Amino acid sequence: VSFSPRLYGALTNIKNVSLWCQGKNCTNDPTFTTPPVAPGGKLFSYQPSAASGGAYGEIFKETALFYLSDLTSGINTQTLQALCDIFGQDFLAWRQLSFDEVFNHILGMAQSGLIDETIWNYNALEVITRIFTYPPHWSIQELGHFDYAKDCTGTALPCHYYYAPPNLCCSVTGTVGATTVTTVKMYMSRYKICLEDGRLVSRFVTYDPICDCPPPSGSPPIGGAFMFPVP
Amino acid sequence: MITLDNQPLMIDVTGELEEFIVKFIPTDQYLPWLRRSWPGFGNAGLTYPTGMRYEPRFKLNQFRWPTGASRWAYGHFLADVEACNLQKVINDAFGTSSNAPPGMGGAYNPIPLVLDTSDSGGERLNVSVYLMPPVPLSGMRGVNGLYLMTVVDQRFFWWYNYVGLLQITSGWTWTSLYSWVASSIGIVSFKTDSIDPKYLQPSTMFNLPYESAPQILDAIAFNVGQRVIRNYDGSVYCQNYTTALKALNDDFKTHPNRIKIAGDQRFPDKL
Repeated sequence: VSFSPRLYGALTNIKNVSLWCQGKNCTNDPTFTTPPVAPGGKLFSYQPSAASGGAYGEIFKETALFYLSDLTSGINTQTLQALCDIFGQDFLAWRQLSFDEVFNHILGMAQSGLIDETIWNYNALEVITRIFTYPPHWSIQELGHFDYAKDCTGTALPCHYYYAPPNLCCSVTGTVGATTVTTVKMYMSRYKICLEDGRLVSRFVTYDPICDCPPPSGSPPIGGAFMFPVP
Repeated sequence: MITLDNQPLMIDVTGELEEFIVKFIPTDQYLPWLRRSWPGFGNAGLTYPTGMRYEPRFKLNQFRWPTGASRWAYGHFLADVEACNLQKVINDAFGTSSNAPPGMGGAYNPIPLVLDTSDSGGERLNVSVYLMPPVPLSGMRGVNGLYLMTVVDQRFFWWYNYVGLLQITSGWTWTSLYSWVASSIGIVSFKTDSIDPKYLQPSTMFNLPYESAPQILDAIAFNVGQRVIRNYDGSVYCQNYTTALKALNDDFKTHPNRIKIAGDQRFPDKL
């Protein structure tokens, strides 16, 4: 007796194995949307060869995220495709062999992941050992991988940004050639409001300069800050 | 012969005893145990394998050994107190526990179950099992000394082992997660095949505080293309497909004289 794999297309009629990965915004742009992979995810597929494949695909839901840096490309596309390939290969490998065999006598059959169950019957009519493989469609359809190495953190959260007081003005005095010049900057306070663990939280992000130019031509300001009206 | 704790068990020669049990104390009415019919609230993200398995029909002198961590081995046998020292079996199988009240039992101890046919080329089944409380078949003590002996393997008790405060962070690997769950169960001999780094790392899907461990062990194996087996000596091995195929073929090479009487490989090359 020798067990050798068969074409799994003949056994399970599976054409390809796919992983559905949700997308994650890694652009730091809160308005960023992902139309090419709407609604924010991507389906990765593994198809071994046309000769061995069947008619239908099997899709698994992944916890691994597809990190997006722009509208067209992902940061970890290759990593997730490699994950899909190795999972697809292993998933289909387990389905290459299917058997149900009954042997005379009580046998100490070695355990193997291919055997769904080993059954021994010991009575007057039959003394047998039976082994058989898993049901053809046996599967768990939720997967729990994660690509920590390429995960993006920081501002790529579903946050909304807004400006609020205080606004700041400051002046910097330096030398341009032989002339002493004072430039004036105005900063606005940028905040973000995010949903964190179900709570709406507002956090300070940074000061954004909204004006950074030399003062008007002509005589330099005599002193003090050049005041802009607050919008 | 069949022995439990080195005591002989009965062979149901005519099938009459099985018929009696099915008729009067059927196990589809009083179940020897209950299995989960859904993964449980915390494990809903893991889900069950596709399709539920129904409880197999009662069969006397049948022993079943599944693969995986979530299912356990079991069998139903008969003991006749005229031939079997049932008191010894009970004393050995139900020991005292330090947690039990004085004079009370509380611990299940492993006892050997042996299924042996003298003409099987030296092969036999010898495993450690746990005895469920024996069921007397007769309502009149002393008239009929037959007891239904239901046994299970250690995986039955794995469901009482929880994974503790399991909280996945970026430092976790599949290997460390395997070790955590195996340790939670208390598996002494635990081995896994190598895990391809393309499987990345476990996600926070496995943040399953104080959930029952067996399902989680099966889910880990599925995520990395492996399956869990428990060997007859109690060791646990998470196998890749190639290892599983080799184990199967090596076993048959070692025992070339096995006699196949029914069934075969599905989809052979030529019909």
